[in-house]
Amino acid sequence: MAGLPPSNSTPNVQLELYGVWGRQNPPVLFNALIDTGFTGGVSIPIMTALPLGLTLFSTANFTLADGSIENTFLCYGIVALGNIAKPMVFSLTRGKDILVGTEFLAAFEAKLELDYKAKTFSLIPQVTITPPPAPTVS
Amino acid sequence: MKLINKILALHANIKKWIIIRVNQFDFLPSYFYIKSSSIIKAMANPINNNENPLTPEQVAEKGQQIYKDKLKAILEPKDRGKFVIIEVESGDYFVADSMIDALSKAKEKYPNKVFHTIKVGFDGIFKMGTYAHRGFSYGWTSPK
Repeated sequence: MAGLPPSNSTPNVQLELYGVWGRQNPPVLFNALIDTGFTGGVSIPIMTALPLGLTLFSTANFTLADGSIENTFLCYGIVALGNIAKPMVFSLTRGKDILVGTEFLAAFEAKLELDYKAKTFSLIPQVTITPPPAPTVS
Repeated sequence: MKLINKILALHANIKKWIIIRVNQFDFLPSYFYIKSSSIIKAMANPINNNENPLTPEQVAEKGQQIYKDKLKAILEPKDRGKFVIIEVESGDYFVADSMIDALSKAKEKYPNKVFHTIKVGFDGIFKMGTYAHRGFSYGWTSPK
């Protein structure tokens, strides 16, 4: 994943997101802002999450930078970055942007490089895919 | 004859393998393998309202109360930073290094429940920076 971030703004990445309805054909891609100040996986507007079929599993509290506590709903679903898909926790927000945080970067073992001088940005997932075991003849 | 039997056995095995894969990963690329397959299976489970009679406020409040009264003393000395998922009606809880792993355990026992999640030793399960602002909440008071 590479691209030029708009000057003085947050870089974004294209992701495929899906829940119980499964993958769309053709795939539906979303632009997500990379927010390293967010330690969660994916923060997604409720109006985007519900049509995808993300499954609600929990309530939770989270903290803002000023130490105040807010609450959210948690859902689970799948995030695909390029050819790699991972189960991920989504927190629902009333905002309008999709954010990906450091838990997302960790899940994909991502290498993130930002160069505002050269105006380049790269996000390289380094996670290795383990194929399922092959069938054996009995 | 022996060769035919061997081919038939191989065919049956491959068919079985494909069926398992299709059942578990029918909406994933075929080359992809997910460790937390119980989550994928649970995604197909419909939520039954009768199994979740509490409001979000009640789930959050009971979850925080259970943690404060019972789990804090047990978990904070040894599991700080891990995630605990609490089934608030029974008081059952599931601890793991990641939320996905804790959820896998919880979904094995309670496939349709809505839980409350806490990061052991922290006020919130994650932090949000300056991008986020007030007004993101869903209306219930956050018990500490």
